Amino acid sequence: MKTINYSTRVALTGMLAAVVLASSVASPAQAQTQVVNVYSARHYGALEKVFAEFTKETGIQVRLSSGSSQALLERLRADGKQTPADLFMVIDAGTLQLAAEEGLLQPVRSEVLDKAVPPELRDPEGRWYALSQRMRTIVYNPAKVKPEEVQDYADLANPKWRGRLCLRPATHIYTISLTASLIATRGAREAERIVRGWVNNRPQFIDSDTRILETIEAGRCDVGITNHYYVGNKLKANANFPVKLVWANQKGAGVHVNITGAGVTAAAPNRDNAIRLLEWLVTKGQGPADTHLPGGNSEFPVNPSAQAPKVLESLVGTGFKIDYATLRQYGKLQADAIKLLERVRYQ
Amino acid sequence: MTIALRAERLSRCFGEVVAVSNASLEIASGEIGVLVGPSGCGKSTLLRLIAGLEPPDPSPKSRIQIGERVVYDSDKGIDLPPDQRLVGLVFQDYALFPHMTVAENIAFGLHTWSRQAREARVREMLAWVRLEGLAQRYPHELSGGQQQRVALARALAPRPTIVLLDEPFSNLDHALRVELREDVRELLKQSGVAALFVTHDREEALSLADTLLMMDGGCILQTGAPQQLYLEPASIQVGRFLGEANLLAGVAQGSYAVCVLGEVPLQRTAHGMATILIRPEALEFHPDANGDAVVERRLFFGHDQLISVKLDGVSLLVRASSTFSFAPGQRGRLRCIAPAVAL
Amino acid sequence: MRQSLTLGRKLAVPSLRSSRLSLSALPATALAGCMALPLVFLASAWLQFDLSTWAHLWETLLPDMLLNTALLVLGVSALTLALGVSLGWLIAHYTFPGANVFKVLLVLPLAVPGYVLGFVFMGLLDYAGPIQTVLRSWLGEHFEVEIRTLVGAIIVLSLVFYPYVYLLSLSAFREQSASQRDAARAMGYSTWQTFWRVALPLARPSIAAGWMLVVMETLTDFAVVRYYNVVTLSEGVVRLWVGQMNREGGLQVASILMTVALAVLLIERFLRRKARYTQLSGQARPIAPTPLRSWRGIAASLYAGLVFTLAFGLPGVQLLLWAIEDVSSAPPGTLDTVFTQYLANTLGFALGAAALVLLVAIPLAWALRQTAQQSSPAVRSVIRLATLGYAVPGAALAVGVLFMLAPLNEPVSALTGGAVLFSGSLIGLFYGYVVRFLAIGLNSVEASLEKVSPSMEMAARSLGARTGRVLRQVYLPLLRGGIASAALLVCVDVLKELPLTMFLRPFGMETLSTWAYMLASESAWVGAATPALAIVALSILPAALLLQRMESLRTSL
Repeated sequence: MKTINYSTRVALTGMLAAVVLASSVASPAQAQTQVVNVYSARHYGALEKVFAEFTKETGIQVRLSSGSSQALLERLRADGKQTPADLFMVIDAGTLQLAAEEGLLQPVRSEVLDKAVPPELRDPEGRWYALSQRMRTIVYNPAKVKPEEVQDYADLANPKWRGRLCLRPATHIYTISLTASLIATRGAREAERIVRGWVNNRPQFIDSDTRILETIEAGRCDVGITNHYYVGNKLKANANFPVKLVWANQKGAGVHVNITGAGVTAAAPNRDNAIRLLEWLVTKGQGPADTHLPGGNSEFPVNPSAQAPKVLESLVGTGFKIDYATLRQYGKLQADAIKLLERVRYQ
Repeated sequence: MTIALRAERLSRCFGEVVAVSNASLEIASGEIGVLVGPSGCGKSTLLRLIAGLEPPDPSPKSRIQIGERVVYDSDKGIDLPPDQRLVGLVFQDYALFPHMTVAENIAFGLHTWSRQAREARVREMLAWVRLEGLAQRYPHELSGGQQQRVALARALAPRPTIVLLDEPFSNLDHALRVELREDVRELLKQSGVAALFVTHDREEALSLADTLLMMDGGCILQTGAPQQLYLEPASIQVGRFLGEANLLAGVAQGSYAVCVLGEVPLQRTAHGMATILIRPEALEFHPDANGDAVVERRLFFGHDQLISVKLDGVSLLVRASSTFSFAPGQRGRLRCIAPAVAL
Repeated sequence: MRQSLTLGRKLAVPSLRSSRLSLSALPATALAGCMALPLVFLASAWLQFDLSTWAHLWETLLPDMLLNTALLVLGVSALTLALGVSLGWLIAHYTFPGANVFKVLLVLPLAVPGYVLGFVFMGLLDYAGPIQTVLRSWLGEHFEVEIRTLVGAIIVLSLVFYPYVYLLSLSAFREQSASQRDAARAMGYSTWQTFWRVALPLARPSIAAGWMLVVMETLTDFAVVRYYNVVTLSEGVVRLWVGQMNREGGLQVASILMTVALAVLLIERFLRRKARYTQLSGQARPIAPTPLRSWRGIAASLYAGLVFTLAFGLPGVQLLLWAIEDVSSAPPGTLDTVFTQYLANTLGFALGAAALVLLVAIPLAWALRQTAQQSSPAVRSVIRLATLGYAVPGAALAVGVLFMLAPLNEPVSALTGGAVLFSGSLIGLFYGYVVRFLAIGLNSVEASLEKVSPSMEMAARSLGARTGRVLRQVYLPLLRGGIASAALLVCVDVLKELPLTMFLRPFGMETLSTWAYMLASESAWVGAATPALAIVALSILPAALLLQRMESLRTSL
C-alpha cells in the first residue's frame, strides 16, 4: 500500500503545483478599496491615463479587462448574473445596442448624464451613453483627386477608382457598422449596389486605418475610408501630412458616425462606482488634453460644452452634418451587413 | 539431497495459446538444470512463473517451492511477489542499471544488509567474477563478457537459493560464448548455488547441464542427464532436437531391429514396427568399390566431418574423423558400431 | 491476505502481471478517451448538418476557403521542401565558410512564430513600407510588389516552417552511410544523380515527417493569412466564431478543417506505410563532408546567409528597433506593469500546461508500455487517438473544446455559485493545451521509458526491491531527462501558441502571444514588437532540443 501512496502523492503534488501556478496567475489581488471593473474594447495605453486621473480624484480603483467589442459582448452573455463587470465599454454603437436589447445593461438616469450627453448620443432608457464620437469618412490624395469627386460613399463605387481604392477588410467592426448604416439610410438594395461597386474597383484591403493613410500618402491608393481621428493623429505628428479628409454625404443624411460608449451592466456589483465613472467620463473626462478620452485619440467629445481637440479645428472647418439617426440601428442590422458583405465577396 | 527448486503442475495460457502445460521439475542444491527447447516452447514463461514475474493459471495442486519455502501454492492461496522469492535472475540483455556503477549494481540487492557487510560482499563478488579494478565503471564502459559477469555477480550477491538465467549467452559471439559458458559454470559450481538456465542452443544445454529438461509445446518431454537424453531420447522430438539423427523405418525384434542397414543392436529391447534412431557417429563408412552405399555430399567441420551417404534410396548422415577424404560418388559399405534406439 | 496482496501488486506493477492488465489499463484508457473527446465532438458536428448554414457558406466563403487552403498548403509545401532539403543537404555533406555556424543558425527561425514574422514583413515590405519606398525612389513610381496576397503568405509561412524539413532531412542525410553513396558512384552515377536516386529516396520518410509538421502548422495558422488577406479554413473559423459569433458556421468550418487535417495525416501515413528504411549494417561509415572551394563555397554561404537573414536576422533587427521605439515612447511605468502581467500569465500557462501534460502523458506512456507485449489494440488505439490533437489545427480544436464544454457551463456555474465557468476558464484552456500538446509529452516520456527495459524492472524486483524503490531508484533517475525535455518543449509551444490561447483563455487574461497578435492585427507593429521579441527570446533557448524533438515526433507521426 505504501507504493500506492507514493505514486498518489506524486500525482497530487503535480496537480497541486499546476493549479497553484494557474491560480496565482488568475486571481488579481482582492483589495478592500473601492473598485470598478470595466470590460473595455479600447486597448491599453490611452485608457490607463484617463482612469489614473479618475482614481486620483475619487480613490476608486479601475480594473480593466480588454477584448474586441464582439468578444466582450460574448463574454457578458456568458457571465450572466455572475458578471464581475460593472461597466461595459465598447467602440461600436451596434454592440451597445445589442447588449441593451438583450437585457445585459441596466437603465441609469442621472441629471449629470442627461445634461452632459445629448439625446442622440445616448439610449433613451439610459442603458448606454456615448463617451466620444468618431466619423468614418473618405480620405484622398489631394495631388491626384479633387474633393468634389469623393463627396459620398457612393462616389467610391465609380469605376474610375478601380485599383485606386484602399479599404479595411470585412472582418473589422468598422466596416460592418458602416455597411449597416448604409443599409439603414439607403435601403438594402442601394447599399449592396454601393458596396459591390467598391469591391468591383478591386480595392486594396488593409487592416489598419493608419496604414491606409500611409498607403495613400505613398501613392498606391488615391482614395480610402478611415476614421477621422487617424488623420488627426497623423496631423499631430506632422502638420503637413498630405492626405486630406472629406466629410462624406453632406448632401444626404450626413457622415457615418460611431462612438465609444459605455453602459452599466445589469448585474453590476459596484453599480454606484460605475455610474460615478460614467459621469466623470462625460464631464471632466471630456477634455481636449491627451489624458482624456476624446483628446487622447483626436475624437470629438460628446459633451457640447467640452472643447474639441485642437488638431481637429482645421478638419471641422465650418461644421458638418452627422448622421445620428441610424446610430441605434447598427446592432440590429449587423447580421444583414455581414451577409451583404459576404454576398458581394468583400474580403 | 536437499531441494533448491521444486515446481509442480504449473500451467499458463495466453488466451488460446498454451505456453506452459502442467509442467513439473526439480533442481537439487548445487545442481545446474537447463531448460532447453525450440523458440516459443514455453521455457522462458516457465522461468517467469518460477520467479513470480508471471502468475500461473490457477489450476489445482500447483505449487512452487524454493529451498524450504513454499512461494506459491494454488490450494493454500500462497503467492509471494518476486521481491520475496529470493531467486537470482540473469537476463539475456543483462538488465544492468545504466545509471549505476558496477559496485552499485552489485550492491542493489543488498539494501537490507549493514554497510560493512554490503561493502565486503561487493568486494567478494567483484573478486569472484575477477572485476576488482572495475568497481567504479559504468555498464556502458564494459565489454559484453564483463557485463555478463556483473549481472551474475549482482544476481548472486544476496545469496539466493537458486539463480535463474534466461538465455544469458545469446548476445555474445560464438567464441566468447563458449569461453564464458565454461567460466560461468565454473563460478556457479564454486559458489554452490543451484541454477536453472533457459536456452535454445543444444550445444550449450548439453555442455552446461547436470540435469537437462527438454521442453516443447509447453510440456516437459524428458528430464535426465545430458548423455542419457542424447543417447536414449524418449521421443523423436527429443532425439532430433539434441543432435543430428538418422530416422529409419524398421521392425524391432527384442534386442535388435531390422532396417535398411540390416540388423542393428538396440539400447533397450522393443518389439514391432518402429522408427529407428541412429546418431551419425554410430555409423562407419568403409570405402569399397563394390559397396552398395554412395557418398552424396560432405560437410567438413575441422574437428570432424559429416558425409551424406545414399543406401537403397535412403540418405544417411555419417560422422567421420577429419583425417579421411571422401569424394562424391565414392562407393563403400556402412556399418553400425553403436546401439540404436527404437521409438 | 491473498486479496490484498494481489490488489497491491496489481496497482503497483501491473506490467509484471499481465493477467490483471485489462483492469489496470482501464484508467489509462479512460484518460486517453477524455483527451480524444473534443475531436469526437467536433466530428459529431457533421451529424448536425444544417442545410441553410451550409448553403450560405457554400455560396459565400467556403469555396475560397477550400481553394486558398489547398493552394497555401501546396505552396508552403513546395517552398519548405525546396529550402529545407537543399539546406539540409548542403550542411550535411559540404563544408563552406560558416557552415558550422549556419547549421545552428538555420534552426533559429523556428523561434519566430508566423504571426510575428508576418507582421514584421508587412511593416517592412508593404507598399508604404521603407523597402518599397526606397525601391520606388530608385526604380520609379510605378514599381510595385503586392505583398498582401497568397504568395506573400506562402513566403512568410515557408520561412517560418522550413526548419522542420531542414532538421529532419539534415539528420536523415547524416545517417546515410558512405558505402551506399560509394556503391552508387561505383555504378557510374554522378553526385547529382546519386542525390536524386539514392540519398533523397532514402531520406524520404524523414523528409515526409518534416513536411507533415509543416502542413499541420500551416493548417493551424490563421494570423498570417489574415494579415495577408487570404481567407483559409482556419481564418474562416476565427472569422465566423470570434468575429461574427456565428456558432453554426464556425462549428461547421471547424469540423471541415479537422477533417482535412486528419485526411492529410492518413494519406501521408498510407503513402509511408511501406517506406521504412533502416541502415542494414550496424556500423554505417559516415560520409566525410566535401569542401566547397572558391565561388561554390561563397555561393553556399550566401544562400544559407540569405535564408537566415530573411527568416531571422532582418525581422530580429526590425523587432528590436520597434521595441526600442515602443519602450522609449511609452509613458513610464505603463509598459512595465502590462508587460510583467502578461509575461507572468504566459509563463503560468506554459508551466501549468507542461505539468498537466506530463501528468497525463506519464500514465499513458506507462499503459502503452504495459500493453506493448499484449494484444490490446483497443487500449493502444484509444491512446493513439488521444495524441491526434497535435494534428488538429488550433482553431478547430478550440471550437471542439468550447462546443464540448458549453453544455456544462450553466449547471457547473449554478453549482459553484458562478465561481467556475468552463469555457473561457483556465480549465478549458489547460484542457485544450493538454489535448494539443499531449503527443509531444507522450513521445518524450515514451522514448525515455524505453531506456528502462522490462528486464531491468524484473531484475530489480528479483533483487528484493518493492515498487517504491523500483520507481525511485530505477525509473526516476532514468526518466528525469526525458521528463525535463518534454516539459521544456511543451512550455515553448504554449508560449508561442496563438489560436487555442485566443479562443480559450480566461477573459481579459492576455499572454505575450495574444497581446502581440492583437496589436499586430491592428497594424500597431511598434507596440506588438515588445511582446514578439520576448517570445522569440524565450523560444531561442531550447532550439538545441529541437533536433531531439524531431526525432521523437518522427516516430509518432
